[in-house]
Amino acid sequence: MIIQITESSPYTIATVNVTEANLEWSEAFKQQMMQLIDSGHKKVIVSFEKVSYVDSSFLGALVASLKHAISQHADIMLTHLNKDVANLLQLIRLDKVFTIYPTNAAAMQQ
Amino acid sequence: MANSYSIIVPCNASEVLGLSNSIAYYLQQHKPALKELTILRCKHVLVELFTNAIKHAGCMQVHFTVNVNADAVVIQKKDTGLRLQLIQFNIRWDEAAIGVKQHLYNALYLEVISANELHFHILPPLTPEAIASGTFAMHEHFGLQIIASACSSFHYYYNATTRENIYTATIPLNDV
Repeated sequence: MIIQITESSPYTIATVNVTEANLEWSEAFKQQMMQLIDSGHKKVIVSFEKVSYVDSSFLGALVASLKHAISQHADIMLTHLNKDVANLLQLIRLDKVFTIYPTNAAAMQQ
Repeated sequence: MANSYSIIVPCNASEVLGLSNSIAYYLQQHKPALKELTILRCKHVLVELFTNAIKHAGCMQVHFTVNVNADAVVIQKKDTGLRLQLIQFNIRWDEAAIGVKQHLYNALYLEVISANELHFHILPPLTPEAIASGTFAMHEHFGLQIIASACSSFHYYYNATTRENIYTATIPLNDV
């Protein structure tokens, strides 16, 4: 599984379980996120604590997941972005699209 | 240390992180005063140029050259795979056109310079009036958008004689 699921009702923490979040994993990630949202999870925290870098394919999967979540009245939050990943999101202004928190605890306080 | 770094790498996703780190190391060693943000941008450009080749070019290997001058880091990628297809962007090589990829907050513009040359630009989001004036909608392409956002110029050239795809990305030193 590319994502490791932890329940903390009403939140679901989906920890990305690879260090290189790239095109090799993007399709599997998207499929698992879609299934998670379709199975009724409304507040999904995607944790990048294990991820050292993200490429455009994975970003595309993340955006596709967010679009699907919005259509299902669900929400996706991102946590534990390292400097490289945070900078990448800022570069193409996806930091304006996603809700980003430093930690899972901070996301769950909102 | 030389002003230029050149490396040929197999076109394989497992090589991406190693390539990115080795060139970041070269930049840190060659130009210690380089800002961290500039090196980060270079890494993003390398990863996306390489990923683009893996996904679309269908080639065995890719040749990267990195040059550092007083104003910029210039990264060039060459491969002999499939040339860039514009049909996915709804524009054709034989027509002078500007393709626009409308994004949530950014717009990626493809400017056809000639039958073999293309320039990429990032411009502010389009207004509804601009869209209605006859620009071309493009599919999402985060990779090209990342590179264009990190660069002061980003060009594609197809050398019909050598059958090489040549991408040239210029990352300014004083823009961060």
